[in-house]
Amino acid sequence: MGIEKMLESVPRENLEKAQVFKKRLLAYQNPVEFVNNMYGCHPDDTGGTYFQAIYK
Amino acid sequence: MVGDLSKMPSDSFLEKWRTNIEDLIEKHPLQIISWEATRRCNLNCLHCGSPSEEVELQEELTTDEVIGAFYQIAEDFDMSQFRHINITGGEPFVRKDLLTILREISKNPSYRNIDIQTNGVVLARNPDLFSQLKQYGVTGIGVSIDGLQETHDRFRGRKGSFDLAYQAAKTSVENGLTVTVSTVANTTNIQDIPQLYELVKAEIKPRIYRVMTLDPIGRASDEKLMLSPEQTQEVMGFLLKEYTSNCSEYHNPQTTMVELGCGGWLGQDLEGLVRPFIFHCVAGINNLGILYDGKLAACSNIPREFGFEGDLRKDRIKDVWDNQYQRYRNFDWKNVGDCKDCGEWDYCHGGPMHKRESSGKMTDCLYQTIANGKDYRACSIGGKK
Repeated sequence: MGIEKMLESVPRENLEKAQVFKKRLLAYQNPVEFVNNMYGCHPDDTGGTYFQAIYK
Repeated sequence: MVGDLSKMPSDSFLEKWRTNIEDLIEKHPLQIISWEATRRCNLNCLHCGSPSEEVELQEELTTDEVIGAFYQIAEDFDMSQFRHINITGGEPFVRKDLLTILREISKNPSYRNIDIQTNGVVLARNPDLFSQLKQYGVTGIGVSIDGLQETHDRFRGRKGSFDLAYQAAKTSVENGLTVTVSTVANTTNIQDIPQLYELVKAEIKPRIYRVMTLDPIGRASDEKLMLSPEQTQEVMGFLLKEYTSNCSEYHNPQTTMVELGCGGWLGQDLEGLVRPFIFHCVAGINNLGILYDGKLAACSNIPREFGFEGDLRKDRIKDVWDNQYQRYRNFDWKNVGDCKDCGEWDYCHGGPMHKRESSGKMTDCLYQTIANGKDYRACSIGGKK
């Protein structure tokens, strides 16, 4: 399928919204704050600061 | 990067991210410890990345050795940026001393944020464990559910294991723990994933539903289980659709998020649209792996064939972290094969370490598979290509 076609299959308004959050992910001060490892299962140690900063 | 599809981030955002990553690599603060508690397991899953065995292993670290290692780390390292301990296996709960270890190490304030990856068998049968786990610093539980009931039980080689995993995950949520339900996508369960996700979201209500693509390591290095390029694209399409549909609710802790696990960088266009983070392998950068026998690695998921950086029975852990992890922080040796001249190199640096052989050979690249249809199924660790 290829990446471009995958993206074209997403409703435009959903993609626009997700791109706003992507910019915040890219600009976040600790770029791997939420990347744990293969088994990682912990959002962050303050109970949601990261997700508030990115998705609110 | 493709055209202005719904206002993609400009190059300056990617450059900022790259600069931040390079800064982190240079400083490599210890933030996560992945402790492979044991290689023993009470199940025998077809796809397990760890070739676990239900036997006593003489070389397994003793209770005192484990506790001593965690205290040594707290004494030697700057723990101001430390985040959490991630306990994996094997099945961690087959260690009879797990609670003792948790009780002792959680006396140190740095170790009050611990998660455990489990198949759920012991937890489901012993719900009284939750109060102690929480008391000893456990804040997260990861439970593997690899398909709907029939698929999951067949994979686990044990009827009833789906019910136990389901129960363990649900009870963990009810006990206020941050829960991840994980599915390893492979040829036998790919058809279950959308329905499983709906069931998990509606009934278990975990914080995260994580999908990983099967990696060719451990017992999983069987081509018949590996996804074709088309199937890999199907999985990514599912995650893309779910993420973009629901991500505006992810600030709400009651919402279940989807994420692709750390299978690799997806390219500048797709990365950041299938999971609530931008991927970069953190092995040896902020993640230290302590293996069941005390070998020091960078992540407990990296195949043992890749080698070790030290041994806590012989070495001071801080000395090893400071001086022996160069191959995790300088990636020139990975810039071969499909990585050479790849336009994504500056961001992915050759992808996750668990997909590399010590020779530098890459066994799988999700970006190449999704963007260019490249098929890596015969490239398993020690494989043919």
